[in-house]
Amino acid sequence: MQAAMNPVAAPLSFPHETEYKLSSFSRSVAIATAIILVIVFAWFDYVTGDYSMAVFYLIPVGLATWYAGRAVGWFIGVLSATAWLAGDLALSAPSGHPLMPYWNAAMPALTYGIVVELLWAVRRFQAELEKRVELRTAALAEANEELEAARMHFIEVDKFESIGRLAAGVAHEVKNPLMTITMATDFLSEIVPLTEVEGTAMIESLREAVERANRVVCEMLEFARPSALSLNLDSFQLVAERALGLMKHEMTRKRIRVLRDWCEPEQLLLLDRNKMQQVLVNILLNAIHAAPEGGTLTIRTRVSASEFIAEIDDTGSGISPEHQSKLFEPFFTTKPIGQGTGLGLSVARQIIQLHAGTLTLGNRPEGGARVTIQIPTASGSKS
Amino acid sequence: MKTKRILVIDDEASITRTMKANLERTGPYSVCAENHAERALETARRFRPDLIFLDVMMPQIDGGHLAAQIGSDRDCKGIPIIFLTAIVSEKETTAHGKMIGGHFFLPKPASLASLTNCIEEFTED
Repeated sequence: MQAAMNPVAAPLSFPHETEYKLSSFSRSVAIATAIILVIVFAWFDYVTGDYSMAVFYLIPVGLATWYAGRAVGWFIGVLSATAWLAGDLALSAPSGHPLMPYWNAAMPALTYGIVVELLWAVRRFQAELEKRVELRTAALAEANEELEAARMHFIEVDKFESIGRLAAGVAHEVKNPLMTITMATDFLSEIVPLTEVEGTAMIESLREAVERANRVVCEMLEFARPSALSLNLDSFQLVAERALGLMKHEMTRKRIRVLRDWCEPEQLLLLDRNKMQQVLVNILLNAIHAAPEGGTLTIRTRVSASEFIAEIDDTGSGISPEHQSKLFEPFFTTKPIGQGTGLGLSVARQIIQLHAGTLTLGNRPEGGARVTIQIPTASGSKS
Repeated sequence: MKTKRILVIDDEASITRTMKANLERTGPYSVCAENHAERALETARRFRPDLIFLDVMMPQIDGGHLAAQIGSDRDCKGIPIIFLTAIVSEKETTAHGKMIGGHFFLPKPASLASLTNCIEEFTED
């Protein structure tokens, strides 16, 4: 059983004739050529008289066996012996034993039969070897793929561990100065009068800079240390509406239209409301970033068997092939510097995985990208 | 209005300095800054604060350990302690109701408003 499962370890066995995939064209050509050769040799045999052409018949017999199979080989062999016999009967003087020509024909017939069997055995052995090579090549390719996947996994794990260590260090080293800057900014905002326009603007810029730096560090922390979920039966639709509400300003600015296609009845799922909202905000931000001015964003939900499926489509240019494999890599971003940390999708995927679900990204046939979230329904999930 | 006594323990002098300047300017707060964790318990005994802002990660003594020392000290027992930490994010503290391990947490960078809110919430007038 084990050997059967492992093609490389399977014992060498000869396949049945019907397993060979000889093309009907080469088979027909081989049969036709063999028959023509038999006719030609028979004619030579006849015109040359006593000169035996028996050995030459091995050519059509071999040709037929190799290219058309064992049965055809035997047929051509018998045909050759018959042709040889016919020539012998036509030429022989009626001397000796009356069965002599038949005996003489039976000898090459037997030889042809032996040749057919030997050739056929070689043919089968060759086919088996080819099959083994094919299987070994496939197994090798599979092993290579597994090795590559393991290598990528190792790199990813190593990256995650490095990020974990880095995140804690960076958080400490960056957030402490940010605390000082925040305190100093708050202090300055008390001193600088509101009438001091430039001063007030600078204070605001300071606050924005601190917020931006803090956001990067917090995302790193969340990525490196996804906290446990607080699961409750909740409406995905409600969470999505809250996320859409948070994105309202960005969508209005780019005149993006939102189309909603909610499944009926409204589905309650085991969700961590805050974390699911974080996932949706990340996805929506990407979709808004990708969509052109006046574009459309579609959010659609449906239930299939024991799964809840949410799809978020944008009308952007889609995901380029060179980016497809890197989308979930930490720190990979296509956004301009300062507009994305490259951790949003990685964090989103981690959160969805914590919900025992999957998050996938792909291109829609009609253009634009589609994010698909699949999570078990409350009834289908293991509690 | 009673002046509230606030002890800020953080190994970063720039943080304690700016916190002290901000708090004392904003309200009736008397702030004592301590940058050496190993001296913090003694400072707390001497200063008798109404509330302590305590950094979690300090080179000499871990903030959690120091909080336990203060909490078990006869003179300082019952003083509310607010942890200031750089290694949790705002989302993480919010998710846990801003309480981790029975202590109130403020993630760094904390704003002046969040500091004064804490003081008002955890101290009596």
